[in-house]
Amino acid sequence: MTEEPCTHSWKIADTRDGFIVAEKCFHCGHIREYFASERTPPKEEYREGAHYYNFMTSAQTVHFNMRCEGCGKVVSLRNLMAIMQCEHCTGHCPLHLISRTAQEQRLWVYGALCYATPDGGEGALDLEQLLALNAFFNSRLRSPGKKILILPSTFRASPATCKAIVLTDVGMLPEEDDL
Amino acid sequence: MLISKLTQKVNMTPLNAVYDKEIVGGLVTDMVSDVMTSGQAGNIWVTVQTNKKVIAAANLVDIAAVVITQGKTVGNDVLQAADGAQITVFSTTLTSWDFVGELYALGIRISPYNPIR
Repeated sequence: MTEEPCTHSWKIADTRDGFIVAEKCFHCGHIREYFASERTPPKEEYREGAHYYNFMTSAQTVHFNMRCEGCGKVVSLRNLMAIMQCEHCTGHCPLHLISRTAQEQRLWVYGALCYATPDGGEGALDLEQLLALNAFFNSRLRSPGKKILILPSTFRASPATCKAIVLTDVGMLPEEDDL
Repeated sequence: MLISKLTQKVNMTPLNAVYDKEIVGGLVTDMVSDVMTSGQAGNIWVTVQTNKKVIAAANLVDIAAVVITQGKTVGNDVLQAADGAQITVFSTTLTSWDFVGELYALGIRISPYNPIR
């Protein structure tokens, strides 16, 4: 007799308070992003290989994983930097088109921003991570007909032109710069 | 308790249309990351923050209403976003401390769920 696969009931687990830190190599312009769980964001300059990194910016945030209450499976979200909502920079952005179309059906689209990959590319959540994150946020909704869809931020036309509300604890005050 | 009933009992003024939802617990924080991890659908969220991030975070976890304390003003862009998400934004001249005291006196408690820290 085969065991039925768990349908998963995801909850937030392993929450860690800390900072999103962005650093830039002043030689080649390479940008490095990571999560730091120190009490204050590290701002020291340092050399790593051919790079000389300088602190650029930081944002207070919380990191978490997903854990299934049924089977105990954990889906790590260590590469998830933040969740963002499209603010419609251009009508040609696929994320904007999806968001705007879905909103008519009470489907709210958010983007999952990930830390840059080691080679400086835009990171993205994999399918297992997206399924867990979407299942979790949708399982908590109470408003009739409302749905949440979290897509990889790689749906954006370009990170350079993207205009979005990023859900981090920075830029909340008028005198602060946003991430 | 429905929002329409709550407005008759506590000192708060709606800044946009009233979307009459059931209040299920409360949350007081000025950090959107707290809302994402600890907020519950149907919560009333008490904060001094007036940024558009408040509505984006509240919508993600299906917060029923947001109360801006200390009489802070809210931009029209925030209220438009709130109407789009059908979230009522209230203003009160009370501090967060005093306002939460009024909610507590009415039997509204913190969300039953908190993440594992």
